[in-house]
Amino acid sequence: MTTLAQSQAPKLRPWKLVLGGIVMAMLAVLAWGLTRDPSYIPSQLVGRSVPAFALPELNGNGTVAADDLRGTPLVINFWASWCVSCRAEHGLLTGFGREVASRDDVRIVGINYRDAPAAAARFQDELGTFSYRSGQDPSGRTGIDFGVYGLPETFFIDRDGIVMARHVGPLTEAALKHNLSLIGVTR
Amino acid sequence: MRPRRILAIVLVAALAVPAVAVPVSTTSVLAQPVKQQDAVDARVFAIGAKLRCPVCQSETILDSHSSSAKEMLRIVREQIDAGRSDVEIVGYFHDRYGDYVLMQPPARGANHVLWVLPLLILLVGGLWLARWLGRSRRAAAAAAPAAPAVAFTEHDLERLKL
Repeated sequence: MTTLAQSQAPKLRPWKLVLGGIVMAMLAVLAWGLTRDPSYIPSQLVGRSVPAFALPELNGNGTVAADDLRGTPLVINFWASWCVSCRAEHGLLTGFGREVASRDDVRIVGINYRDAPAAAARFQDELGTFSYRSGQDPSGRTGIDFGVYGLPETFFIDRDGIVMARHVGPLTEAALKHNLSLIGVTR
Repeated sequence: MRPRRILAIVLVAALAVPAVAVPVSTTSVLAQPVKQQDAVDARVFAIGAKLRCPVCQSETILDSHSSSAKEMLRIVREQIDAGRSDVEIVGYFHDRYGDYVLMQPPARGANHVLWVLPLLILLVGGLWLARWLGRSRRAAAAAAPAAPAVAFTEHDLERLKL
């Protein structure tokens, strides 16, 4: 027997349920998409050999070259005077650089990306001199080889010259410690 | 048309148009930083319109005014001069930046969703709209009276005269 209330209630057809489910799922995916950073580009370099580079040293006459840095775990930090968030990691990097100078199981170099030496010098006058060498990459071509898209970016390379990790954005104490562990360095 | 029906058409159209338009590569109509002079320029343009600028949001390296994009265009030109093929040049950037750098994501793996979903939405939306319009037309036909219930009288005619 059908009561009045039952006959007047809208029928829930299966296809309506399915369509409603699909719409809800799509909305959920789109909502999740809003929480992600659309400018983030996953690194193509992780697991591959470090690209070759030989760059003129920023404050000197030497060359910063990938070939000379083989055999020891290596940290490469891309920075620039125009990069605002590079200021946030500067203290950590210079501190780590001083520490590295006294140990022989890890090395660090900087790459001054799309910058002018004068501007880079002013940056260091203001925030403190880097405790390690930087190579100049004024055209950004070495950066392109590394897949760099937003500074600062830091690459962690193991003793065999394989890139094990890339960190985008200012380094933190925890991120540095974690990524160093990936290249066999304890801090 | 009733407001609800208009609303339905507008909704489906609004969903369908971007769904179809998005995967199609955008070609610059505004900013063309390099003058097109010869065959090499034409190739620089064609390749530049395929590559997405890594420091911008959904902009080709041809459209972007960023120095990064300009440097990438310069690399494209150099590699053309060096005799590399279009596929090799696009591959050079794909090697470094992955699928991100391609304006048209390649139709493979999970990317198939991008290509199939818009057509699916259009299809389902179209079927739903057709069904709904048909049903409301039938309902309207059923509800409409066959003839005016009250005849037009002489008195009504008088009232209409000014």
